[in-house]
Amino acid sequence: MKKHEIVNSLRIFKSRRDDLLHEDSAAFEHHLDRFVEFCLKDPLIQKIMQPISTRYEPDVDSWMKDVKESKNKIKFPDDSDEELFLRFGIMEKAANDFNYIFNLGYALGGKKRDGWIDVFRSVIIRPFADEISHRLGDVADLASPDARALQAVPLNRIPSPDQSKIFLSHKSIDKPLVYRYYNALKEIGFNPWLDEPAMAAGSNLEREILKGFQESCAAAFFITEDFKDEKYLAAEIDYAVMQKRKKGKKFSIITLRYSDAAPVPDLLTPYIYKNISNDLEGLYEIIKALPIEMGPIRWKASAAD
Amino acid sequence: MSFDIIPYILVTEVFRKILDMDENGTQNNVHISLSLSMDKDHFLRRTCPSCGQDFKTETDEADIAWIIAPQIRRMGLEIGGAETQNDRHEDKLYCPYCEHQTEASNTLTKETVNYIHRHIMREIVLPMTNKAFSGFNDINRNTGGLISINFEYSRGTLPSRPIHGPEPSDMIEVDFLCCGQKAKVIEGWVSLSTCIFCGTKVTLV
Repeated sequence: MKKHEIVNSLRIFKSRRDDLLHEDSAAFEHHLDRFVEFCLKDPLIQKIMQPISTRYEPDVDSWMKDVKESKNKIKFPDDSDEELFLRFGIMEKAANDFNYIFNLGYALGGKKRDGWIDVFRSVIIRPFADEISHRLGDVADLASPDARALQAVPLNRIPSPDQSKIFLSHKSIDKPLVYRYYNALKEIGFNPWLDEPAMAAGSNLEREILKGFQESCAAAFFITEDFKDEKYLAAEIDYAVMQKRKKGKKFSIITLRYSDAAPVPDLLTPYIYKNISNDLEGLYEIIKALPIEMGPIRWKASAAD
Repeated sequence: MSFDIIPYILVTEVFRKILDMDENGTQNNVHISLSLSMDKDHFLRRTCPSCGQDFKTETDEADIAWIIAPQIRRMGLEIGGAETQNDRHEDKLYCPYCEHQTEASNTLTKETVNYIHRHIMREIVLPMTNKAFSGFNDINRNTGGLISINFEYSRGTLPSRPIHGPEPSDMIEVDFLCCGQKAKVIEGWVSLSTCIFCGTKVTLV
């Protein structure tokens, strides 16, 4: 059964059940017919009843005979499946022959029609409805393994594309190392900024670097043994400090110092820096320090159906 | 006098006493034990009273008393009871589809409201009615005058105890990062733009 069919089936079941249990006695016969008919046809209920029907055959006439002979005492089988099936058999019988309800009510000492119906509801229908409701809850498990939670993110927590870049500041000689970070961050889904791929030929280096900082939410400085606080690197440190003052919590300065590296430049020391021994540690520190985070797990477009 | 149907005014009076105070003027504490069926993930189904679409909110069992309390008070009001003085400020919810804002108790499904009403009738109102009239049969007596009145009150079988649920675990779960609460909306609904709980503007990812 498809999800919407199961939901619809349960909705109708609850409606028919409640009509039968609670509606006016004058319409009881009608509601009993409708409920029994629904139970016989509904695939979800049949999923419960069908396996039981292969093991038991309810003998409702014998059961009634026992009720009469045992002086108003009602007994049901100990086995819960058998009991459920017998109760339904009694309801089915009553739907076809309404006198069955009167016979039962009379056998139990009832004096009035409404009283017989009330007894039938309490003794036969209600326990059946309760049990079948529980079992339906189990068989109607709609949880599908591919169902995942969505996230509703407040709009003020969604940065625009020109706010969420990650500026990778480095010495030219360290380009191969920084490219490894660039590729990893891009693969994860972040938007790293690196001079070479970001700048077209002929563009003004100073202005492009400043623009790169303005569009970033973080600047990562790679302090290697070749790092020197001079020229462009010195300007980048100034820009990073400037952005930090301007953007506050929405800008992180991440300083990664490799083993045997040069000392951390003075301007960066007020911000936390990490000593790392390999790229993996460095990547971890960057992701941890970023003011942005990635969304929930999803299938890649190439893997989706 | 025979009552096959309980007169409306009687229910009103009995219920007023339950909610407010008894014949001695003292406060009555009524303990109600009922359970609402939630889906396997502990979400309670709700219906927007404006657009009629269903959604669900994550619900702790401890919250159930607060969820049903306004309905019970409202039931008292509908049939004549006095509004209690200490109404707790009730949470409001935004419909995930039409963004209609209303008290959480207004979003209970018809099924849930019916269940609560039937439960209260069966467990509280009818037993109180039966108790109130239990002495009627004893007051039949001929006073020797020209007119004699005979009362006969027959106590009927209580209606069947209502059943709530089962509740299928359908719909898609949504985590609201603004307030940390969870809800479920119908599958395929991607236009959710307001947090159901706090009204913050959101987008689905």
